[in-house]
Amino acid sequence: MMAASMETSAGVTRALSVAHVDRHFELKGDRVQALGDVSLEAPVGTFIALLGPSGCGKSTLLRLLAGLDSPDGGSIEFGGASPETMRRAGRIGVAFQDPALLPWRTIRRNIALPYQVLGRPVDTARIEDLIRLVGLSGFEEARPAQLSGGMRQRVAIARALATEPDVLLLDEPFGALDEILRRQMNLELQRIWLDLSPTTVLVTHAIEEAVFLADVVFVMSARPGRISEMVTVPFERPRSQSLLRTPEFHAIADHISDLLFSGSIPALTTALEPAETSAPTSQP
Amino acid sequence: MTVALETVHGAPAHRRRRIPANVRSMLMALAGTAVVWQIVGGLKLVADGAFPSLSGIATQFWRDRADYPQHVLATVQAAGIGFVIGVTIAVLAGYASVAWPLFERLIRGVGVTLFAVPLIALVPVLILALDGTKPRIVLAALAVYYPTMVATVVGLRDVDARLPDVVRACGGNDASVMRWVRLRSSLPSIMAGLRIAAPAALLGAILAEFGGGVRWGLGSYLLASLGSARPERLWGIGLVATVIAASAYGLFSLLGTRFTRTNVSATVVAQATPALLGDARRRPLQQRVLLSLTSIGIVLALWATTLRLLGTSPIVARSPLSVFRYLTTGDGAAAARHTLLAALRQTVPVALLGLAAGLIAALLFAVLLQLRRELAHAVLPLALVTQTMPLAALTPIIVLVFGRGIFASVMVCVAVTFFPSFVIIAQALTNTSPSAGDVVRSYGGQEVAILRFVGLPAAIPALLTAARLATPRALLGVMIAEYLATGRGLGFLLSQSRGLLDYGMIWSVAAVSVLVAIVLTQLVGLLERRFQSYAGA
Repeated sequence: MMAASMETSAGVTRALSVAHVDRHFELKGDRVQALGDVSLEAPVGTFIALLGPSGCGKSTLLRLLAGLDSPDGGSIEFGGASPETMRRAGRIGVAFQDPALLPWRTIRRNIALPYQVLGRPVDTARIEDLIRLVGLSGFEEARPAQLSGGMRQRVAIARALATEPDVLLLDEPFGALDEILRRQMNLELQRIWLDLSPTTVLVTHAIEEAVFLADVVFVMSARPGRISEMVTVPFERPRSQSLLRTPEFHAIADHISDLLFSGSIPALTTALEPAETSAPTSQP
Repeated sequence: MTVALETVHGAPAHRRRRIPANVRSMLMALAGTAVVWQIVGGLKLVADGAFPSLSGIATQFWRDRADYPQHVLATVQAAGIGFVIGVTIAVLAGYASVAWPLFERLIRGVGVTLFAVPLIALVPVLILALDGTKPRIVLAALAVYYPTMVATVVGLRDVDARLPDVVRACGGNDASVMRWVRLRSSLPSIMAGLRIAAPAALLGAILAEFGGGVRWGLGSYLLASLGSARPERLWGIGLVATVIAASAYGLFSLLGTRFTRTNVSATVVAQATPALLGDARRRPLQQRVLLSLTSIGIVLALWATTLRLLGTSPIVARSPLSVFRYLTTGDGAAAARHTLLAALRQTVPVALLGLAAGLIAALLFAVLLQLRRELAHAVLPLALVTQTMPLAALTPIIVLVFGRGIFASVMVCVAVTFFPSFVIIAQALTNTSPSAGDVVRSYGGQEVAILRFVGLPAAIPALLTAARLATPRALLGVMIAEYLATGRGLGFLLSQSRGLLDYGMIWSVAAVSVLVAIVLTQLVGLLERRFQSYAGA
């Protein structure tokens, strides 16, 4: 564990490499392939987005990256380390679609959770910094139920960043928020990310959000879930709201939109999908 | 409470405290009951004075005031020690069950047995095997085990499904999930379990006192007063026991709400489809049979080894094998079997009859309240009182009012099965989706139509759940009535064999009544599961 953190602080690359990953589930005796031969690469410190329709397996892929589930075939590595190793060492931060805060804990103690789980001393100074970074100063002693939806999601992001992870995984973190709040949160996420620059994987089904935030957008299709195209987004950072109105932005967004709505990507009409938001937990 | 505070802070002009409407109707109902009680009792309208007036009960209570402290202390002390022991074991067993599923499967037999066992059947056995206050403590501990253990397992297992993922994502394993999520999440459920367990401990202690041999205790006091033709005293003891049980219930309710308030998540789970994924881990048939047999074997082994450890004489304390021999190959086995079967034929039909009557009454009452909601506030407090009154204290009173015949046994059954069943059924009726009701209403349906198409279909699975939970209570109720008063059935056989020092029969009655209770609850449980899968629940 010590060695891992020293390596990273010394600047050893932790590029994400996903090679030929397969994952299937048993559903009432039938085999459902959630992911088929998925491969992708992301250099250290890049922001990538996984974009696709409901049921294309993007959340399943994220759970594999987080080490919460293991693939049936293929490999996932962060510069030679497995997701499981990274997870156990606290090198991965995850924010789920739902903030999933412990309701009995204050905001400060919710953000302190990763330290306690890892059995490390709680870095109070860093927690104060994070609370300031996500704009929640003054709410340290509030409980989740007292906050708005957007505020709760910021707590979840602060918690994901608590252990200074090399990898930040975001599973539609703003999916439950309204459009206006969502845009604000995207701007804030960009600001936070520019501050810390972890390798980030964002799962989303919003084209605009993916193009606005990511360096590279991986467009996925379903049955089985796979990467159908990789789209590079060239815009400089920081990106502002006005970028959304430029023809260059629209060109990329429209291109992705064409990919999603052309016949090449089926499954927009399929309803049954076990592996999306409710990816199976491995507990008995 | 909140209403009162708001008035005080918001508008200083209105200092008058306002009592909420539901509290007001409840208080009015209580006052009305007290008045009717006083009149009916004062005029000796029921059973020739067996239903005394409130003032009569109060007067008698005042006269007996010197006796109460010692009786109350003895019972509460034994119940308290038993409660602590039983709860400790149950919580540890619950924890171990969640941590190691195989352990859960192996001790399931113990849980099933303790859920179904009519506690009264164990009284003579415990008194034979133990001395002093120990039978009381043990029976209290046995009474609290099942509700506490189930509440612990449910609390530890049914956590917000998103939270374990969070802990794992932070680098945790199963042990960290247990430590940071499950333990804290389980507190409200455990408190809800203790809320039921505390009155159960009191019931256990009082029942053990019915076995005799102890001078002090509410059970001994009840037993002594049963013969002395003084209904006022019987009622006084019953009400004192009720107050103790209700206070314990209230204490744990209060603790429970404190934890629940900080336990409810701000957001709901986006999607919950674990059922869709199926139970892929279902064990093969052979393995399940083997596990069931082992689990039964563990119960028998516990029985045998406990007696060996206690070192009680094998003539008095019979092992499972010895009971089996007594009923099959021993001298007089045929006669013993005959006596036992005759008693069973008297007890079981009465229990089933009482169970059915209690369930039907609960269903009718739940439907009535659904149609006339304003009645609920008036009637519920009274029903709650009969609920918290320990069965052991209730039975002598019912016997007093309804005589020593079968009718009294049936009434005991109704009294103990009615309220819990009513709560379950009423909940099912209330919890139906409002939009389903709106669908019926949009086609011109009225309340009755909604009840017919939406309410009742939802109530039937609830009725079966209620039946499963009430079956052991019904059997216990009948056996207590038989033991104390009616002179027939298993309960009577139990007290009779004690007098005759027929140890084999005492142990046989205990074993057989536990077996019958298990079979009955399992049968109802089977029916319940069958219906649930049919109803798609």
